[in-house]
Amino acid sequence: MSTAESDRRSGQRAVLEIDHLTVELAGGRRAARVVDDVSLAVFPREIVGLIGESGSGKTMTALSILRLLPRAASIAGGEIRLGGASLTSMSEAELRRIRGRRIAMIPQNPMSAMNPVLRIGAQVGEPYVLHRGVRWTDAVAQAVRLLRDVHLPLPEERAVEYPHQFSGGMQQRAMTAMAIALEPQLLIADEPTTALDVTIQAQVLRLLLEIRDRHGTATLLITHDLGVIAEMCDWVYVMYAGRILEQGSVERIFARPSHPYTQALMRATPTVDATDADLASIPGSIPSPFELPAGCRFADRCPSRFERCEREPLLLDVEASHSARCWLLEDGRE
Amino acid sequence: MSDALLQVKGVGKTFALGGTLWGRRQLRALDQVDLEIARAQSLGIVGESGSGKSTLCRIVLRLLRPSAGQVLFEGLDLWARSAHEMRQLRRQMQAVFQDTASTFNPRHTVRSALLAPLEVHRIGTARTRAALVEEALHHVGLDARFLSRHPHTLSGGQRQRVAIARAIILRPSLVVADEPTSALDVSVQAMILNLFKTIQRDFGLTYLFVSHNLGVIRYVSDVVAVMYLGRVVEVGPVGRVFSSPRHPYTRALLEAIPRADPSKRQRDLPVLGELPSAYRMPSGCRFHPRCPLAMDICAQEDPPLYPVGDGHSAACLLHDPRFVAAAPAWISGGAKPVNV
Amino acid sequence: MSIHAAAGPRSPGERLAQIPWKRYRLLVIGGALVGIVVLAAAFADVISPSSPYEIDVTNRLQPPSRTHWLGTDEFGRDVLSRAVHAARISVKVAVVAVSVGLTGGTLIGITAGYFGGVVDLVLMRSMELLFSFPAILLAIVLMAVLGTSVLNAMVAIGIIFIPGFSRLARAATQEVLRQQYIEAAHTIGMSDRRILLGEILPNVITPLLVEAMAAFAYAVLLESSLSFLGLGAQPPEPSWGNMLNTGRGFMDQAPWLGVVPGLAMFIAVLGFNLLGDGLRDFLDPHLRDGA
Repeated sequence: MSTAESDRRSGQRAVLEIDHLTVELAGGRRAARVVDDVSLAVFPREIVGLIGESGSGKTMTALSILRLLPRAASIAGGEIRLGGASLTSMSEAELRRIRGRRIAMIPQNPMSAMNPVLRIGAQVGEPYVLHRGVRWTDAVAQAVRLLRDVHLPLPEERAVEYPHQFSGGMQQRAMTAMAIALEPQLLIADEPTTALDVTIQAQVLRLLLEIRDRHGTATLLITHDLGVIAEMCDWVYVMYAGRILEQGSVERIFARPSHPYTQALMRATPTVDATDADLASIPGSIPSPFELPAGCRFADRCPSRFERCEREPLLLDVEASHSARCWLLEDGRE
Repeated sequence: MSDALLQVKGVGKTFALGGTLWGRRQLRALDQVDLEIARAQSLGIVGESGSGKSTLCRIVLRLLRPSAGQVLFEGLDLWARSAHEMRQLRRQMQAVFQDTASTFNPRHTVRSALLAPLEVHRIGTARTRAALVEEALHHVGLDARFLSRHPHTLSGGQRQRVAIARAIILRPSLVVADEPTSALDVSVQAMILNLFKTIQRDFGLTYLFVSHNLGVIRYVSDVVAVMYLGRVVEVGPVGRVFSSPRHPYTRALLEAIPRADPSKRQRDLPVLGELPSAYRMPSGCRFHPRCPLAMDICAQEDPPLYPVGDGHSAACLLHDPRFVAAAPAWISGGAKPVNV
Repeated sequence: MSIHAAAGPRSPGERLAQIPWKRYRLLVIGGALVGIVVLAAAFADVISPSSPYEIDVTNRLQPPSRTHWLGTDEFGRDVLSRAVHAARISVKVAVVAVSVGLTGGTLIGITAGYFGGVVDLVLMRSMELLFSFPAILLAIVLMAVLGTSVLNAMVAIGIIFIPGFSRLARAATQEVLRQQYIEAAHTIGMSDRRILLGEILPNVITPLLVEAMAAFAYAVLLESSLSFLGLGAQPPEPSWGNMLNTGRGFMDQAPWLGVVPGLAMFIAVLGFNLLGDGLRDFLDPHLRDGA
């Protein structure tokens, strides 16, 4: 672990620790590493962002935590721990007791995550019945309370409705209610607002902050939107082609983005503010996990590449609470 | 007004959906929309779900008939043309859509997709068509290798480039882009947006650009129209509208966008509540149930667009001389720009 | 997003080796069975040991022997030769009937799906009317009107198939209409006809082809039923149906008379069904893989 990470610890025990995780995708003769030696941690009361574009491996990383990987993918190395206990060596039965209860997930597309023929109250109340053996009538009462907590208007009426009667924002809030039902230690939010309108997104994000404040939940927020990271997160990991390229506190990363990819992402994001600068696109495309280059994965698209980049860089410190995987940082080349 | 390439005048569109045989529900997707785009200008349309922006695109492209109002292209009503004239007109108006995956017939190759417009309008001969197809690809930064590929084997960015090539191959004057980058990664989006700007310059194109992403609209548009529940609530030069919004909805939109600057987080977001059902449009001003500045009168009167500056108008009763006194500084103008 | 698509183009040899042959079991077996039937039909004259019409009263009702591999019928005619020639009838009828049904049904279905409104209403209600009759009953009625012959059997069965295909074509058309490339086609200025034939038709053909395979099987059965009832192929023309009919009367003395045509039909129907299933499996995931 780099010194940046140990700064963060300051005596706390991480809620989630991912240690050198590797996930492989089966496909033909060669296996492809969609997640390659990834390590990250989420501390209590922290919102940690995992940002990356498609093909970065961020979703696979999240799915590995609860071992919900698609059939073709498998964990090929590393360990994942929840509060010190190893999740990767748990049996399926033990893991089932964790899912929904100690770790909960808010998916990207709420409509497809909900059962279209069950009423909302029944779905939101389900965790109580499954994990706490509560009677259905009590569970639905709890559900109404939860729906109120997530600021759904007239929750008693909402509880007897079906998912298709809800708007996208309302569905996402219902999913959030389901997720926090049993007050989990860790919340994984996989692109929770990508499918939502801007004004609704603001409400859902604000809800996540409220949950953090009220329950002390640790949150892993996966997104491709830099604005969401800036608005919500304390710490961020930037992923690309299965690797973490930059990590650190959000203030540091935005003040001084050090990896060329992070810099490129920021320059490529259009803003509402006045600017004469052209949007900078990144030439080339992300390498396929089946054809990963030997050296730095970003090298063939990087404007600052040099000979050293033929060997894959290590995670080097930029400053306190900030490190990046780039040779430019060596000997202060930056 | 005569150098406006496209004029949308009082356009309304109501859909009759669902319900029973004798009582079909009315969905008012668009109501009294007035817009204009000058030649070689870029009009951005910004709005959330239910704003009617996609319906507007289809009406402009003559894929849908308005229930009220007119669409004038080069001064002539789209629906008053003969079939032959309409055929010619199609060459002038092309489109790029959002869903790159289904925008091409999966059975066709890139080559046949690009040849189709030429064949439909009988442009050129077999040989000249091949040249035009290659030229179009070249303009979007792809080489001839891609001609024999099937679109579903390409990446989203490449497909969208082919879609742009297909749109420009007829050398139209107007291109309607309906959320062309919403399904793309940030870096790919940047490339496509730059491409849009380049070809606009190269071909003197006029754009009607729709997006829910204000940053994207800022980058590609000259003028922006903000839509809400089928109405234009604010319109004006994009820089001015985004730095000094004069409608509560525009302001709420701007404030809701997560800013890529951690030092400016957690401002007080106005709580807007739920979007009303489009089947039961609020009375008076559509935005009043969610508006932090709503007055009693707002439930009764539906504001027209009030001019508030050069080419800048906003549909809010607080701009009406009767109520100006009640308006906070930022809305009546003369206040410092919104914290951006 | 397909990881496999990102792996890049592969050589034909590589791709051939990567085809999961096991998955295409159904296609291969079905194809083989159908192949046997079709070949028998095509080369009936060459394959049959003797003429199917040659009467030899001295040798009637002989069990299978070296001279007559599948025995002889009540007129001394070689059963094997008759069965093989009957295949010809069945294949002919199946092909013509399915073609009639497929063409008619597709045109009606696509038109109804594309134009919607009144056109859709009128066309589909008519189809439903036709559909509501039990197939055999309808066939009998049609034959009564048209007259009994093999040709009329083909037409009658074809008509029976039209509603089923039209419904499928309509549903597939509506699915295609939801795709953005139809909207794009309108924007370009494509005529309705070009859209129907060039954009919609190629994309609805797949489920229709698969259904056609099942229809072949059904056509064979229907034709056999009709000739069983005396409405299809007229004697002395052999058809599995009328062979079954006569065989029925001789089940005690000469069971091979009934078993042989039954077995032949079984092979044909099984073959077409397997082929249909195999074709469906073959076509669908292949398309999605982005070859």
